[in-house]
Amino acid sequence: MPNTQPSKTDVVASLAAAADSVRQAYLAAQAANPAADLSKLYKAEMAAEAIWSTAEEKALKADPAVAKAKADLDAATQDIRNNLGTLKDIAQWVQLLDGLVNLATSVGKFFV
Amino acid sequence: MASQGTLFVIIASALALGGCSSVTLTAGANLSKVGQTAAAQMEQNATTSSTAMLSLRKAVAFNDGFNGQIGNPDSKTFLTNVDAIQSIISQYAKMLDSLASTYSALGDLASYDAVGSFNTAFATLDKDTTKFLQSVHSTSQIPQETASAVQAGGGIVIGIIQANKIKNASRIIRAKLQIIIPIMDDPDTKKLLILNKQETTGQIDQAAEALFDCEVYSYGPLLDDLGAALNLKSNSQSDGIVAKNAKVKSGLRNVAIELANEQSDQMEASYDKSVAALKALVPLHESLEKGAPLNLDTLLAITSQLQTIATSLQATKGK
Repeated sequence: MPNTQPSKTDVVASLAAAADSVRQAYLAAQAANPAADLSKLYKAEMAAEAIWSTAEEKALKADPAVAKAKADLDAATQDIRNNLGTLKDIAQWVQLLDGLVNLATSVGKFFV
Repeated sequence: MASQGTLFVIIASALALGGCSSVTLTAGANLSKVGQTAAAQMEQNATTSSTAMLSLRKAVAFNDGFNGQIGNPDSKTFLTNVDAIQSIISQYAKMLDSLASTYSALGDLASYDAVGSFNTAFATLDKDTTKFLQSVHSTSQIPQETASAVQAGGGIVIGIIQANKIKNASRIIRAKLQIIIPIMDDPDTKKLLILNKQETTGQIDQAAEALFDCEVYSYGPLLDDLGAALNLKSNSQSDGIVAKNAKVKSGLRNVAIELANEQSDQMEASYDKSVAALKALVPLHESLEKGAPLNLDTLLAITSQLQTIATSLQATKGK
C-alpha cells in the first residue's frame, strides 16, 4: 500500500485515466463490431467522465484512505488497458467497466 | 541671475536627463509593441481552447444520441462541468485581452503622454485579473490598484516627467504579472485551463471514430495527406477501396486519432509558451525601470513559437 498521500492533481489524473480506459474499451468494442449495441458501455463511460470532471474543480479531502482507493482504481484501470486487445465479449466488458466505475465513485467521494 | 557656468551645468544636466528619458520613452514604446503582440497571441490560443470546448459539447450530444442515451444524467453533469471550465477559459482570454490593451496604452503613454487611456486600460486589467484569479479559486492575496494608477501631473521638463510615468506604469504592470505568473504556473490551474488532454479530445475522437466506422466520411483528405510526400493523390474509387480493406481502414483510423492527439499536444504547448512569455516580460519591465535598453530576443522568440503553434492548430483543425 502506498505510504505517501497523493495530491489532488494525482487523484484527478487517476480518475481521468479511468475514464479514458472506459472509452478505450468502448472504442475497441465498436471497432470490433460496429453494429453492436454499446449503450451500457457508453453509460459506464459517461459515469466515469462525470466523476472525473466533477472532481476536477473540487478540493481533495485530507483523508489517508484516498491513497488506497487511488491505488485500487489505478490497478483496475491498468487491468482494462491490458485487456483491450483480447476481450471481445461485450457482457464481460460491461462487468469490468462497472467495477471500474464503482472504484471511481469511491475515489470521487474524497472530493469536497 | 545665474552665471554662465551655472547656466552651462543646467543645460548639460537637462540634456543628460533628456537622453535618459529618451531611452525610457523608446523602451516604453518597444515594450508596448512586444507585450501587446505576446498577450494578443496568448489570447488567440486561449480562444482556440474555448472553441475546442464547443466541439466537445457537440461531440457529447452526438455520442449520447448515437448510443441511445439522450438525457443521460452523467452526460448532463459532464457538460455542466465543461461549461464551468469554459467560463474560466473565457475569463482567462478576457484577462489576456486586457493585458494587450494595457500594453497598447503603455505605447500611447510613451508616444503622447496619454495618462487617462493608460489608467482606464489598467483598471480593466485589474478587474479582469481579479475575476480570473477568483475563477480558478486562487487563494492569493490580490491587491487592488488605485483608480489613477499613473498620476497625470505636469512639469516643465515634459520628457523627464513622461519617462517617470512610463516607469510607474511599467512597475504596476510588472506587479500584476508577478501575481498572475505563479497562478498560471500552478499545475492545478493548467489542468483546469487546458483540460485533460485525453478527456478533451476523447469525446470528440469518439464521435469522429463512430462516424468513421460507419463509413460516412471520405478518406480522401487523409489519403492525400499521407501520399503528399510521394506526390500521390486519391481518386474517385479510393473511398470504395478503403471501405473494403480492413487493414487500410484501420491504418487511416489511427492516422486520424494521431492528428487529434497532435492538436491537444499543441494546446498544452501553447499554454506552456504563454506562461513563458509572461515570465519573459518581467525582466523587460525591470530593464525599463532601470533606464536600460531592452533585450527583446527571448520574448520575440517565444511569441514567434506561439504564432507557429496557432498556425499549426488551425492547420490540424482543417484536416
